[in-house]
Amino acid sequence: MTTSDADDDLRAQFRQSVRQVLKQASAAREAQPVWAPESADELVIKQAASLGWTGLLVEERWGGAGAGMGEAIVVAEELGAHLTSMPFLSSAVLASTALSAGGSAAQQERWLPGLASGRLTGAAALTGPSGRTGLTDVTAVSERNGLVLRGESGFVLDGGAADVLLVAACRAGEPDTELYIVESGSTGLEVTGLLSVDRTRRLSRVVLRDVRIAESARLPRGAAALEAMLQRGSVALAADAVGTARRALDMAVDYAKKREQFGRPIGAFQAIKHKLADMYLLVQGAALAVEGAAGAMDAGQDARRLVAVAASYGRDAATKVTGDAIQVHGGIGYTWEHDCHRLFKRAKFDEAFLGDPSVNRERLAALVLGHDG
Amino acid sequence: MTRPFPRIVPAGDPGQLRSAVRDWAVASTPPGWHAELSTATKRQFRDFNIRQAQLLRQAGLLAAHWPKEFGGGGFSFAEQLVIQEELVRADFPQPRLLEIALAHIAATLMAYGSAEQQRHLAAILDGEIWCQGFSEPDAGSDLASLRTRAVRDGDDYVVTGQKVWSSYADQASWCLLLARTDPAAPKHRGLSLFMLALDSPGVEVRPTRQATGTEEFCELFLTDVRIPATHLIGAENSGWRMAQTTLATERAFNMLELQARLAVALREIAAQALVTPIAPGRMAADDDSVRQDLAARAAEVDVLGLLGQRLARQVERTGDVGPEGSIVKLFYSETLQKLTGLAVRISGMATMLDERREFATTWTSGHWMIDHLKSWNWTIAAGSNEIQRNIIGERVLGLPREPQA
Repeated sequence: MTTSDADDDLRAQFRQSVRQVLKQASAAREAQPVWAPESADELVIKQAASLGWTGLLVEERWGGAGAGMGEAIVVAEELGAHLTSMPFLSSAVLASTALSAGGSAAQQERWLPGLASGRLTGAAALTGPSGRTGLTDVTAVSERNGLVLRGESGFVLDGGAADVLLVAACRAGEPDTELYIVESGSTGLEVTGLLSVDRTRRLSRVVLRDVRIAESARLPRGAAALEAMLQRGSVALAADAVGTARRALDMAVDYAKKREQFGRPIGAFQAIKHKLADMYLLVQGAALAVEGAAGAMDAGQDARRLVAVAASYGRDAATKVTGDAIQVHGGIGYTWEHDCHRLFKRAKFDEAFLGDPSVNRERLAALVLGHDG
Repeated sequence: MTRPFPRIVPAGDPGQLRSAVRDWAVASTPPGWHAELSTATKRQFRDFNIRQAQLLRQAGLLAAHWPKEFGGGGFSFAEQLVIQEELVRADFPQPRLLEIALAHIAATLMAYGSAEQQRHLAAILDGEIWCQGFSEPDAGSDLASLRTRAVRDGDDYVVTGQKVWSSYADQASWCLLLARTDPAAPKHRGLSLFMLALDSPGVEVRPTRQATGTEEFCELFLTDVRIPATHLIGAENSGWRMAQTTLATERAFNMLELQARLAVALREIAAQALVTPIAPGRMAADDDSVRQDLAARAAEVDVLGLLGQRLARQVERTGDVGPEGSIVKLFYSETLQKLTGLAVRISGMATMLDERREFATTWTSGHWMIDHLKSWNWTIAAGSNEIQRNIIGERVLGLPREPQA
């Protein structure tokens, strides 16, 4: 058996264990009012902490598992497939990565053990009110005894429940965006819940009205942290999207075998069969793109190209597949009771968050055309 | 020609194999071969192909995928991927005319041929060209409905019928023929595979001019052609299953080279976009929609590469191509169509001019409009993409079969 075969088998076992937990939780999930977010899957959140998912990307010296993206994408994909509501991307991927990649030793010691154990959660406030990556609205101004943060950050995933926020802000006169640690409950910090169309996601608007922080709350390697967050975050998002797509495909195939019209299962008709074959192709390709990107990151290679491929191809594929799954199901797939629309909405969220596929295609184009590396 | 290069053999270390093939390919690629072939006659094209095949053979790279006992290289699927990548990278012209013989004719003979029939394997290494006689005017996607009849008469079969889309039949000396031996049986069960010598009396080969302007396909007209019974491959009436297996092999084998070639084509298109003006002071590469398209195609080429690697690993593990071959064929041909379509868009009027050619010798000749046209060859041939989607739907997803007539 080759190393990669052994890795595959380990990962398959890991996936089985993740699935088991999530399956129980989705069975126990109760229906929620229409105009409210779905409640967080507390059962999963508890088990996730004890199973070490929250600390997958945290080094062992801070109590994490010291695993890699290869494991993180397994969890992300299954969360997407099971429509689980928990702060994995926000806390275990984005916040943990920011502190790991750009934090000082003191910052890491203060926060990473809590994030890894699931005792604390973190969130990232990266964009301004437009929600576009790279457009921040928050400014940092030096004053006596420290800094003052001012401005608004939109679409903060899991910001409401977070104990610690990583806030992207520009300092007057400095060209680069930097990251600052803001603790929940800070004076002047206002976090308002927003209702996401994807009810499995909890979004917040964060307003900072002269929030005072110490100079030591700035991450010393902010640029590195932002780059790492974007890379890992994009791939984890794409993995989540692949999960939604895989589940939607499974449901559609199942349905096409059972649902009969004109005296035979609709899956016997090429109009449906070929659509499903194309969906299958997209799911296979998207999953490979995500695995390829994760593998390159874990191997310490330059992963920019594969990350852009996963973040563009993978997420486009998922919205196409989840949308087509509604079509295959017909009217029943369009009802609120059915999971089809929930999968589609989650895939669309995954598509738009952290820079959409066009942004990633532009990155890819720059690499292909040799403008950038 | 003196050869300072030792024969290349499977090495434990893929990096070592890669550098050995790279050095050889760079040194052995004839300079100016594109120009030479652009004006070549069919005869010259054929000689060129045989020459290239012999070069590969001396290096141990012809029939890299064949087991050693048949005179092949015995390279693993993953190693073949490396070999193809390096041959393509060096722009080494591969013997197109021998491709069918090396791929699924050989696969068929190795799996089902008698010892005597397997002697053709050595002949193929020497340059024996084969074609395939499967499709008919009324049997394309519905291949099993083919009507060419083979009737047993003493020690011979007497064959009458018509075949189409037989690539390079006018260059070939042998044909792998699928014909009906039992008209009473259900249509898949009455077919047999034969080796047909194309110089037999009653065989007429007529080239078909294609949309590209060149003639690669041919029609075969068979009138009372006698085929010795010893040239029946496998058991009578078991031709369909054998043909299916070898078609799957054909798909997988071809893909290794094609996938490597697409990656090269993408780089060429990117380079072209950087120097193709679309407005004063503006190159195609500055245009956002071009950039978006190019990146989308790059993503597909990369994903195809990952699919190819997975296919290689699967073949290594299970020894079987299976429906995975359909996935790669479908993905490849549609990516090719979109990628060459983008190249045509970037090239604009420059690619609307045609030149006389006898053969379009590679799948990415650099004349993007011709390459784009040729992409329909790939979406239609070797089982149209609609048939591939049926295969994926039925054999992978387990959907009910189409109602059979």
